[in-house]
Amino acid sequence: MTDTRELLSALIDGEAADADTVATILEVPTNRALLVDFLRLRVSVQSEGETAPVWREDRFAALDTRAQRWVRTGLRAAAVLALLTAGALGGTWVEGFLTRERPPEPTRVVQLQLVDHR
Amino acid sequence: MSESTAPVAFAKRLFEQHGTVIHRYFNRLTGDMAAADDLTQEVFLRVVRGGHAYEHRERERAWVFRIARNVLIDLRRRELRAPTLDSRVEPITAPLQSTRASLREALALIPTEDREAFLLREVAGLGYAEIAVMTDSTVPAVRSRIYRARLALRDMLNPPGPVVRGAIMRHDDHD
Repeated sequence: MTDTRELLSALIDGEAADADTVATILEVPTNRALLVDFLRLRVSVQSEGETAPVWREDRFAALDTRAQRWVRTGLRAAAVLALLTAGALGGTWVEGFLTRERPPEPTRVVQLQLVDHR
Repeated sequence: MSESTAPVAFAKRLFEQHGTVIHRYFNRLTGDMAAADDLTQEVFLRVVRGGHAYEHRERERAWVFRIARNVLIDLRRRELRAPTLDSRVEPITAPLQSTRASLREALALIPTEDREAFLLREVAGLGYAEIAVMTDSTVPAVRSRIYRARLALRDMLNPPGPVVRGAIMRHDDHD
């Protein structure tokens, strides 16, 4: 810290400060005046008259509608995707189920013929 | 409806809690009430768009002020690309004409980094550590900047001479 009076500035901001050091600094009248001026400056900055900002409902409502539209579109897309996935998986399962009970298709047919050796 | 599904309701709550302070911060920085209005609206529009990015580990006010700072940075960049005569961020660069200068004029004359740290402390009420994170700095640097800002403002608003000490900084003298 290059200037011991910096401690006074930190002090009014709630920063930790050594009490003995503060007491030493405040023994000097100009430092006491400085501390008071810092506090007056704070009051000036925080209390200067001004009007409060206004919430512009229209601008935010438009954003809200847009956001809701995006959410609805997203939900619809997700629902369609889920249906398509379910359909594909369901179709595969149904096909497997139906073919499980059926005997295998013949791959070749062997015909026996009677041979007379007499 | 929860806040995560109602970004506008979330932003409105933040506006009610921090809107006045954000507005004051912009007003101190720009010295222009209309600009402060617009910038404040922009902050909360960004809250609506990015409400999901809020992490509860962070203090709400610090988060909103981080957005406010980004809004200012974007504004400065835009002005650098297309400078205008009525620059909103630092409208006053002329030397003080009167010893009874207003706080607004004095603020415009101190270095940007000092002014920013000072206003984040005095207007936003942020701690040194929060300001250090926000400005990508260190706590000792923030402490020094705030001190330098106070000293400079005090010297400008309370110049040595026959003026009664403290009289200039009474808030009823400003604007």
